[in-house]
Amino acid sequence: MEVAAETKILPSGFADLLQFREWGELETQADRYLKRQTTALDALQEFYDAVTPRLPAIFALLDSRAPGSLAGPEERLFRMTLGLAEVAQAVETFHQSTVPHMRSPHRVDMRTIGPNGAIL
Amino acid sequence: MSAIGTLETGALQSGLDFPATMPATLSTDDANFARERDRLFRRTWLAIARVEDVPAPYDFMRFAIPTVGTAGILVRDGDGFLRAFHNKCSHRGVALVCEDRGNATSFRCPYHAWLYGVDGVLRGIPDSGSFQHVVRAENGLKPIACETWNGFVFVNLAQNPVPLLDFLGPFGDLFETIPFHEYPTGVEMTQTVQGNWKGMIDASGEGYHISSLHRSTLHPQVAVIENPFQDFHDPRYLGLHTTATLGRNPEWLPTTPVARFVLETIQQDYLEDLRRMEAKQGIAGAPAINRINLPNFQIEAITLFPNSLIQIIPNSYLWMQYWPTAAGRTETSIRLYGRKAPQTHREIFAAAHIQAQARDVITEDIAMVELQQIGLTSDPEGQQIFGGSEYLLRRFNNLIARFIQADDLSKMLQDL
Repeated sequence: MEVAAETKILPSGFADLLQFREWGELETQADRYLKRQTTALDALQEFYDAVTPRLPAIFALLDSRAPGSLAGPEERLFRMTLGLAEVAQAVETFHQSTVPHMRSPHRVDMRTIGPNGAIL
Repeated sequence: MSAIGTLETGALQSGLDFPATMPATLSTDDANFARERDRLFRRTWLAIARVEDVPAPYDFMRFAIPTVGTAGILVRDGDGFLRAFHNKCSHRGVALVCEDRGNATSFRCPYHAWLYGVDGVLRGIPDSGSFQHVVRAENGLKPIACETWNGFVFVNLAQNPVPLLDFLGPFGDLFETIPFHEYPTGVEMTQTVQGNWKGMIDASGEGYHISSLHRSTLHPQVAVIENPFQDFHDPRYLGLHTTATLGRNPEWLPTTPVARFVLETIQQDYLEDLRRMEAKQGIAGAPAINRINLPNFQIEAITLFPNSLIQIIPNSYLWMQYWPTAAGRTETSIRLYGRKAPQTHREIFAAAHIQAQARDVITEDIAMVELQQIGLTSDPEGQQIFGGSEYLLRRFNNLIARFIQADDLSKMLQDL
């Protein structure tokens, strides 16, 4: 029963990422950027260490789906992975959660432009 | 300065003829902001959109000029002609278009249902007998001067503006054929900066800060031993506008796992863009870009006076707009454009990573402009000092002063 409950949150095979489910609830890159800023670096490092090695498996699954068609557990997994686009800046580049010297929280809104803009 | 920064033109030398200091109050005093608003922003051409924002007949979008409080509508009529209007019903002043964008053959005010064509003509007044004193021909939507150049849509709030092509001058000739339209897709990032707008232009006008401020981000990608302070190459003065070329470090490759994953994802497309550039195709292959054929070209950094920056890189371009709303407050729009939208989830992830990376580099600059505002405000009798490598800053800030002072803009443009 427990496995079934878990698979409702993330696709089967990704139960190891369940502890990061909060990242899967964030709908926009602006929200992910804010969460990165307000999460301690060691927690970002944990997330990074868990998700980075799973990138090939994640996209083996998600790239069998058309962009825009994800729902439920797969959409959550994708949003979580988009969180890594933010977390990687902190872990790989700055070695701190925020951009150095920038006030935080620093909000930047994003929208897509043009035909078939990226779904963020 | 290294010799490499003195290539080609006399631009650098003539830039040094302009003042090497700038009073703090030009960045902190709201009376000065009011002069910039009234004498510069209300009298100059301002790039506000791309034609791709309203591609089809009857497409419309709202636009804002936050500096002067303008709420506008940009609309393409049935013949494909672009027009701009104040978003204001002639009856009781209501901003009648409420959607950010859409497609419509007419605009109807939600308050009392006055109806306008996309040509701005007042077409209908319910209970018209009550308004027999209103001359329809005089009460259409109020137009704003609107012209396009190479896909950029410009507006001008002046009653009789100088022609757009006079304003663009040699810039317009040089960059007229750059195929911006081949790069129609991307993202727009918007935010409020707690600093002066000129500081944002100045932050892109010198490479001197790259080795310190951007040491973790941009620096490893562009640093080469022979140009330790990233002097710009081939600076060119094009009337009010400028352009300069920057190289990259050909040895640089990302070493961290996620950055490498992103590179592997985009590598084929990027190599194709480099091939196109070598073949003189695409945005970076245009003859006006990297005129000196710098090997390892990275950025052509263009200032479109007064408040736009355009940065052309091998596979993309950035368009940044800075709109002051006070001496210490700037609304910003940063657009990143590409040739094609991501096709897979992996490519969307890579795009999100690249966008976050670009945003963070610009955020490093924004952080400095905000700290600069604090420092300059603290000492209003103080000044900024410009070095020899900061010649573009000297010229830009001098041009603003000249524009504000000029009563005859045509003459001022001729004298440049």
